[in-house]
Amino acid sequence: MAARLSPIFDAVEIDAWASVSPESLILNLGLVAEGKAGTAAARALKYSRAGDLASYDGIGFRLLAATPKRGQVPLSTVPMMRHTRNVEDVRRKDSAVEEIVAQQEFLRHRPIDLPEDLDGRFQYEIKGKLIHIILRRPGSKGIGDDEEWVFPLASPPQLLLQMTQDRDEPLIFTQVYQAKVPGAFWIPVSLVVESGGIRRMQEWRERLQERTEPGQFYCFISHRWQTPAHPDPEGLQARFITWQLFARLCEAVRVASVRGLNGARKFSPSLGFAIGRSGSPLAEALIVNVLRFALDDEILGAAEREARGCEEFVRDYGIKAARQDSDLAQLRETLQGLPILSQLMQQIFIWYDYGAMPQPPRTPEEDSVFRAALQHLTAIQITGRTAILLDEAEDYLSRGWCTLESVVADTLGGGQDLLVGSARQTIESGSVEHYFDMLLQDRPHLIWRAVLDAEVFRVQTSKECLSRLGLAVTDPGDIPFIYQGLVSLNSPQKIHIDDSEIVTGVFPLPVAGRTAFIAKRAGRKLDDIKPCEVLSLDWTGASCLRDNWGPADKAEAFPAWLPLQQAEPGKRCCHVAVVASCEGEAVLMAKWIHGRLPELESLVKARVASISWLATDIAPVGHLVNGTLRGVLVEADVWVLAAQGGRFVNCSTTSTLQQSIAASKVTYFELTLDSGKDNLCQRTPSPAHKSGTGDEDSVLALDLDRLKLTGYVGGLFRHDLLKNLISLSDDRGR
Amino acid sequence: MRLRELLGGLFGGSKGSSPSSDDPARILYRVRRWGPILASANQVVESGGYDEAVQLLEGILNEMEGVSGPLIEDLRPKANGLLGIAQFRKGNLVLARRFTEKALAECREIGDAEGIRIYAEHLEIITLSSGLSAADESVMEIRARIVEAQKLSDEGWHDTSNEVLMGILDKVKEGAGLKYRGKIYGLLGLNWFRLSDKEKAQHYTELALAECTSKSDEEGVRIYRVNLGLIRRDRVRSSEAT
Repeated sequence: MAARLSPIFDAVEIDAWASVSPESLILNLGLVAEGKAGTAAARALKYSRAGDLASYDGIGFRLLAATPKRGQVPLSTVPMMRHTRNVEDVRRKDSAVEEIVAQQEFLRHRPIDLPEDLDGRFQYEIKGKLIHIILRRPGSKGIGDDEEWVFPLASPPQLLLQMTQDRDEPLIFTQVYQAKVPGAFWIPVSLVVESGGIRRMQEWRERLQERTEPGQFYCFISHRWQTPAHPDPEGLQARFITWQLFARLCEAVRVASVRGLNGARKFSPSLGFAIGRSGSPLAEALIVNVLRFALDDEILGAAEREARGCEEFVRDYGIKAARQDSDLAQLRETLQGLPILSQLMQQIFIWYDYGAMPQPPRTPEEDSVFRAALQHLTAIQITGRTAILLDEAEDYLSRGWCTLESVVADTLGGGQDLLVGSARQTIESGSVEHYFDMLLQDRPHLIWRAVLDAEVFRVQTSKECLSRLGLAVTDPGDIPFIYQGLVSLNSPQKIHIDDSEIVTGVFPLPVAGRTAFIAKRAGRKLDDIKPCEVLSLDWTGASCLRDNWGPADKAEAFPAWLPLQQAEPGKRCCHVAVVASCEGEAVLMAKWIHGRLPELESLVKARVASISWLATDIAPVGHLVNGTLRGVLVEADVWVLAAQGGRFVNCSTTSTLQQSIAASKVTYFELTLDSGKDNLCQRTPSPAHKSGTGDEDSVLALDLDRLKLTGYVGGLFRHDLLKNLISLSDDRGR
Repeated sequence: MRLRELLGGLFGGSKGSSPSSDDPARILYRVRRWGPILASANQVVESGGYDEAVQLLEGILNEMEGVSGPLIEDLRPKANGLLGIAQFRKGNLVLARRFTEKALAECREIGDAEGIRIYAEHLEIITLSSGLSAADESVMEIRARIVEAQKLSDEGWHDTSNEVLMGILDKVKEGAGLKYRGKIYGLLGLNWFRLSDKEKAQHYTELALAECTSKSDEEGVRIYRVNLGLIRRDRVRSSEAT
């Protein structure tokens, strides 16, 4: 069976949990927390594989249940979503009490800014649209004696605003290039409003747009079909789509009027959030792709007055209105009195399969158009943004085509938005429930591991891969198409960071002379080590399965520690340390690097003597080729730390390595693998360098003679990594 | 949820080799487990397993009897507070009040300001949920309007937020609504600051600080002192610039 663990896990003891269901274990932190931290990951991995081995979601849920220290955003799986939904259903029973409880957050006193005498250290927690900044209370008696300062993300303290960069939503493809994709027909949203719903494609073909135009907005709608013959027999999806697009347009106008038409959205890289005045991603995309093309400041003011008049409809993003507006008559009437917003609505186009692809019965010509569209579906999708019309996430994600569309949007870019697609009472705020969103966000991670299991580790067939992902198709002939679509996506663009990650592989400890270095704690970022040289090395193919993995390749040939050649006297030697999202990805990256050493060596002016990899895995549901963690002492003149860009900013495992390397005072490069230009950055710490945490003693210098290195079967939870790696060493570290 | 699974090794019975109940090693063993058990109980409450959580928390509190020290002082109010929440969720408002008051008193004893704020809020929620009298209904209306004003302010609509607040100012001059006057003044001050009317900002923030001081609302005092300092400094800078 593909998910079975290797025999090194045989000795791992989980008898106390064997008969406990994951639904019970997830509530029993006391039981899960028993035992040593050094074996916690092994126990969790063993428990995860002790149940239904067929489903990646099932393994992920069991793993989370057995995780002693869960962060704020652990892996989201279908069983986890069911669990969360059940909990929320229980709590929702007494809505009056829930309302009183929910009010409390907004009745607290609010500061204008943080105190001026702040010493710069704080923790934070994001809850909904609020950021809670937690400071040690003046005259504090110790850990836990804190005070909270709560701010809306739209109006954060100056300290956070100073650490932002301008980051608007990107222009969609069609603003730069005109596209006429074979088989692509775009439906003007105004036509849907005028028609009172979405018609069969052949009924309105002559009014559809084939060639895209700049200044217009194209939105691919990914949705479920309600019946085999008709996706939307009651017209509900059409109402939700049009009302929500209208509401987001109003939101875009109001945000632009506050920030200025060309005022950029502020983004905090360290928080990973937009802060300051901003709208939903879809509203921000409309500002960039529609408003800035169509309006000037004067007309924007008039548009804002129109939008303000629609407040009652759009406060919940049009959900209530969509429920009631059976043939879109209300929206038609509303738009009649809003000349500017009507004009803007005419700039928005959607692709919705039923209305944009010829439907049966088809003439031979229509059939050829249909096949062309099917063949170019991904191209059509990434021409614009994707909006997922979500009614029932579990069912949506069980459909092969829907899942492919959702991960195409996430991985190939173009942007992805969630629209409410159901009349459920739980969606009062007009947004899809948080747990649906989280489930979709994590889908690319599960799919990537499933594909790596099939392609790199070859432990399952393509059919088994789709089956273990819980993907069903109406026509079995679609399986190869969907599978190839998933394989072509490569690694997810986003990384998911949480304490519940499991770290396996090799942690390379930098050595200088008779001393090894290791960070005592992970800081956010090595800001005080400025880059001194920036080079380009396009290795974006490193996580591309098609370019980088062939039938003759074997995962075992790229272990976590790969010594290559002896250092030559008088020549500088280099160590390459890879940090990846899972073991399969790490193998893939190591293989790419191993096959292209001369390119790197010419840039860093040193011979690569060894490669190591670490996998810091939020979803360790796939095959483990290594399944252990150990420290290895590495003495090298030059270090290259290779990872996805997001890891250099937000990943504490990467940060730990960064600081350890910097403390050894060697020449050090950061190689961002998902970027092709200006991505090899040399950082040379000054002699007086302090670590990113600002502490003089944040790095331990350890005498090699007293150092003991131990391996951990199953690796370590990220949260336990540092204290256990340090415990590898002699306690008398200097 | 199966209680036996939850209680697991905590009350694991009397194995022949285990230390006696007053053995320091046994006490240490228990103390080390209270944190994770409390976290478990929290998750059980979050998941709607109120009966199980009550039993779990009563078990911990029984074990804490006769044990003292800084860790106990920190954990006991949390256990009592959580027990109050579990009872509240079960609909036992009398018990909910009793345990929450206990948690509040314990926090006052050790000077845990955040705990005092949290459990005072919980008591307010229990009171409001105990059945709405005519007076309570007016309080609920005031609360709803403040929440609306706060959300408007959070989204940058400070002028609209102020309109909402001014509409309820008359209703908080006496009775149960009086306790929200500090919040209303404070938010008016913040909104005027964002709208660049520093004089009004200072006026309302001074009123807020006075209200919170008179009601011994420590969080309000802490926050409005800082707000007032910021407003005054900003006014000085503005006058220097002109």
